[in-house]
Amino acid sequence: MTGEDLERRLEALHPACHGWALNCCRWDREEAEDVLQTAYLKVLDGRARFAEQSSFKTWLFGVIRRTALERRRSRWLRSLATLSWLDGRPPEVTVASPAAVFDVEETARSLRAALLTLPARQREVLHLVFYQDLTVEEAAGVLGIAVGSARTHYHRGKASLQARLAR
Amino acid sequence: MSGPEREPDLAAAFRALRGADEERCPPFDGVLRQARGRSRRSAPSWRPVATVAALLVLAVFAVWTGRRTAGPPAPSLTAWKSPTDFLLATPGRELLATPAGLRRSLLDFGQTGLPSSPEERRSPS
Repeated sequence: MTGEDLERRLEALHPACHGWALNCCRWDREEAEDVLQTAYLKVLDGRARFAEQSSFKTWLFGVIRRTALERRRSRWLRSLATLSWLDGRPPEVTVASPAAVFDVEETARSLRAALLTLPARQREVLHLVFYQDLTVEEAAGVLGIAVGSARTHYHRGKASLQARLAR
Repeated sequence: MSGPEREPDLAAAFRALRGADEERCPPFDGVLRQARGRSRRSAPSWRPVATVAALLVLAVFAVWTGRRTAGPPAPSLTAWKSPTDFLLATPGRELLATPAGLRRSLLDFGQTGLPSSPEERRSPS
């Protein structure tokens, strides 16, 4: 696949990738954009190679998720190295600010707030299935987990989310 | 069946969320341009590489010159002799070095050394 082909495929999936990056970064828009930039560079530089063992979208989502995890880990290590947690200041914000969460329409707002209370795995599976229209099997592929556990996360997450939205 | 079609409420809520996110989605070209600009800025500098190379050259040079200016070669270990070796040559050392005999007397060890035979030793001189 040439660089131009890759760029075209990335562009076609860009809105979906942005939504997924937002989910991986707990709706911190700035962080999500950074993650997206790094992930695109990885793909275009050849640091992440598509081996055609799954769909391009599934693979790309895996790259974005790993990039978000790496970024979170390096942030944590940096905060540890600089001992910023000793001076009483809160660590770098990884959750979206309330303003960012509450500035969208009511349904999206309440869903976002409810999703933020779920465990990460459940949130990720629900996002991939409902938001990205992937199957549970594809979601398991993106997350690198067994289909059975993805299904468990899906059912538990769905029940918790419905209970929270009904309140 | 386990999919969004079984949960219309959730599916509708997620659709609303997707719509809201897409409205604020930055353009692809902008994201790519920023990413490329950032990668150029954070490209590895030649300075650390040059510093390491210079240090390596210096280390090799120091080892090389150190070998060339080394002193005379050390003497062989087998040829070495202790400077206080003579202190071990105590008087009566030959007595200790010869096994003792029942028919031998200390007087036999004269200036001539050991007696040749027991008869010789027994005969009056």
